[in-house]
Amino acid sequence: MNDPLRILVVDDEAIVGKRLKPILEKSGYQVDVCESGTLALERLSEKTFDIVVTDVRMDDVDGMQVLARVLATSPSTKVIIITGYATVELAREALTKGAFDFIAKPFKPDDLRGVISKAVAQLEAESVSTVD
Amino acid sequence: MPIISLSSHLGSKAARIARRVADATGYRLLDRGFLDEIAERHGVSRASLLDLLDNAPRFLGIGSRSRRRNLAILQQAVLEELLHDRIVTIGLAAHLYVTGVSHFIRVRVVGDQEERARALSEEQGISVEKAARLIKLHDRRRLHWSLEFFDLDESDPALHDLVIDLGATPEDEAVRTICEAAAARLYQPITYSVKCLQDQALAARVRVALFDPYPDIEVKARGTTVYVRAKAPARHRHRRVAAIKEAAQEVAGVDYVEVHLSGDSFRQATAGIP
Repeated sequence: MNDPLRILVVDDEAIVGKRLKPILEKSGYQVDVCESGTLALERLSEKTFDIVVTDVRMDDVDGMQVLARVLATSPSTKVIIITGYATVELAREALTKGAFDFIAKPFKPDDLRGVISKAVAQLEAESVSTVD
Repeated sequence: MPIISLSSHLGSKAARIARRVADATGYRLLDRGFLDEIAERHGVSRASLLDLLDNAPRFLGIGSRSRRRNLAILQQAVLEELLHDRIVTIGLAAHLYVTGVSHFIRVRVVGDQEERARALSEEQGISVEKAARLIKLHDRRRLHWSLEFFDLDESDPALHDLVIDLGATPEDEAVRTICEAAAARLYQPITYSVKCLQDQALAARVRVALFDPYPDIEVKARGTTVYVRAKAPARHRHRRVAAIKEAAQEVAGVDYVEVHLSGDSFRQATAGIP
């Protein structure tokens, strides 16, 4: 994996994308930001991402729908759910539907960086096993 | 990997199932053997911890302060142990105080009264009739106990992720079902659930540290911030808040302390914390 990993951040709170984009770019990732689920679905139809970070509660298309679309079109993509309304039920639903991880807001940038590092490690392990 | 918590009524073979699940999964079994370690670490007697777990609160609340202190100690010790995950726990009431942790699987093992009486009779070498009486008494005490300390009826199926009726399910199948559940994706640890458990362990640590001067406080934690709900007479308000902050900040892992004297502001500040 020599090209920078592509990450899509989806959150209808503009401030989340604005804050995360420079932080993740600084870590060497290529980052796109969408401020709605609908825009995210459009972007996903144009481009494949290695990692998608999505909020759950959004007005038009919610994070679970984004998760389903991502995994239907790119099963190896790691989807990380972020939400200010975390519950056991929602976390388990996200995992059952294939989410890689689930983070409650508010979180520290380091928390997300840690989860993304784990996702990257898994992507690398999967790419090695595919080559083998 | 997840934490599996088993609970049951007296005489329902849950302890044996817990051991078999631990053997099959390679998880560590955290049962009442852990009470010795808690007793030694916290300078309390094992007998008082057993009394706490087995007996309903006394008439007129006699001894209730020391029992509540022991409960706080038990919670702290168990929660800190559960941070290691890959644990099967039984007999320490964890199913009643670990909340909002998605990789904590609550399994309730039930059996019919006659079968339980037969099993207890064999186990303790007493008549089936005596065993049946003991079981009825024990069930009443347990209900009283879980209501008194946690305002929960622990036999309520809605509290559990998995309820296994040993009257209808062979023991081997019960063990296999629990092991399969532990492997399911939805019960795997995630950032959110691990943080919930860390927060609860920190809150429990603060609660124990502050118990002697302030036995009635409520504590929650989010990250390294601790929220304390305390009562204080108007004229001692500022002094008490300062004292609680100072004491809580001494606890390892605490960076910031908020003390709330009103229930509303405490609930507002801790909204979203299980």
